[in-house]
Amino acid sequence: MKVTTQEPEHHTFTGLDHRKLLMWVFLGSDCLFFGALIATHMVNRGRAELLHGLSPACVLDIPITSASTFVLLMSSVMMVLAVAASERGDMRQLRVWLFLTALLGTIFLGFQVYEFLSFVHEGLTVGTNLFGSTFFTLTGFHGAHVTIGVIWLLSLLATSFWRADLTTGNPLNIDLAGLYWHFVDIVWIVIFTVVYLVGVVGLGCV
Amino acid sequence: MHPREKPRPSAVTYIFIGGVLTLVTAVEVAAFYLNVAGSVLVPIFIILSLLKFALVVMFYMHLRYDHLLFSCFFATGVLLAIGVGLAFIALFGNFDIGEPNVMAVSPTPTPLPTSTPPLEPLAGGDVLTIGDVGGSQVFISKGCGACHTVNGLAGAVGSVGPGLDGVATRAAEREPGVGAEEYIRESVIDPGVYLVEGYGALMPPAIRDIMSSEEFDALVEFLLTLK
Repeated sequence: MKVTTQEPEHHTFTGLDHRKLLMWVFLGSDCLFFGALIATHMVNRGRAELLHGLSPACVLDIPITSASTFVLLMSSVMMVLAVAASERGDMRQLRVWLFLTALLGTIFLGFQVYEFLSFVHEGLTVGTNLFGSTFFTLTGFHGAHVTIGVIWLLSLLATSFWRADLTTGNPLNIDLAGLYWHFVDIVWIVIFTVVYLVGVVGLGCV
Repeated sequence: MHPREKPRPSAVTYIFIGGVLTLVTAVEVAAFYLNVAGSVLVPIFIILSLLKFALVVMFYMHLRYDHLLFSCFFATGVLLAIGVGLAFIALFGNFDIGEPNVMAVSPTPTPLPTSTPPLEPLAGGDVLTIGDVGGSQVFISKGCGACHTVNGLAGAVGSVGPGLDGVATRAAEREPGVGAEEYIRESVIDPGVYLVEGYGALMPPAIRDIMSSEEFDALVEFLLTLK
């Protein structure tokens, strides 16, 4: 039986793979998780007791964040090419794309770490005010999701050399990682728009 | 392949979509720097983001090509998240796009302020105090500001309940036979007794119990200055 990303390994009631169904249910629930954090950030946008120089318009750096957004977007392109390679059975290509996806993801994390450190250096911490609390909680949890994704991808890459028959030999396993990775990307799309772009519209640095 | 599923698109399609995503992001950032009006910019951002969201979900996560059941599960999560988020924002949000509705203060030595926010001088003179308890301070510390607005009082930003500017004047006239002070006292002791049209009975019923008599008197005196 040819194993593809669209066919379950064992007979199932729906004809669909259980792990894939689980992943989609999980992603649906993760929407609620991030939705709550984003909504909390938006609600408190106008009422954080803002210290001089620590309002969103002062600290948020749109150019740098646009660059990191682009990096994450490109990593999704790499990911989808990795899934396509695994469906073709091209192990070498698969490894290349997996590596590149993980690399771009790590670069994105690098941007985030740099941003967090520079904010803390300017005096904005998770405990400073409502803006700091909601911002760091939201982007921190997103960064944690990306980190988990990078670890997942790198472990897929590693096992592709060691026991490919268990993991990367089955395109579905790459597909599952891909679903998670793309979800993390679209959450960032929403965060970038809501927190950075909409969050700074009409506000000057106070 | 499951009979209800379609074959996946080619690598070229994926790369093309990647190009579109990049282009849309570039447009968003450009629009941001072009100083377009906020009321135009925000809907543009929301629409473009939804577009990127849809492209990634439909094509990269191939919901368009896979069984409908996956879409159902995911859509439920997304719609619930959006619904609850919007409800929360509508109830407690404060959207002054333009003027930041905050008070900028000098940085304090401790990052976590433990006292209530400093008071703004209100129209009509100094903050009234009874003993050491400032009425407007009580107003903020008991959370009244989360649902009511008072012009010039930092933290009084809520729109769940009626705005309280001029409440002293209205309180005197709204209920025949009920004077301003009695109206205000009753409205705190028994919230919703004189419910204002257009607002729900949302004021916490036991709010009088979370303050001392001294605090309550100061609060009422403060509200009576809002003419």
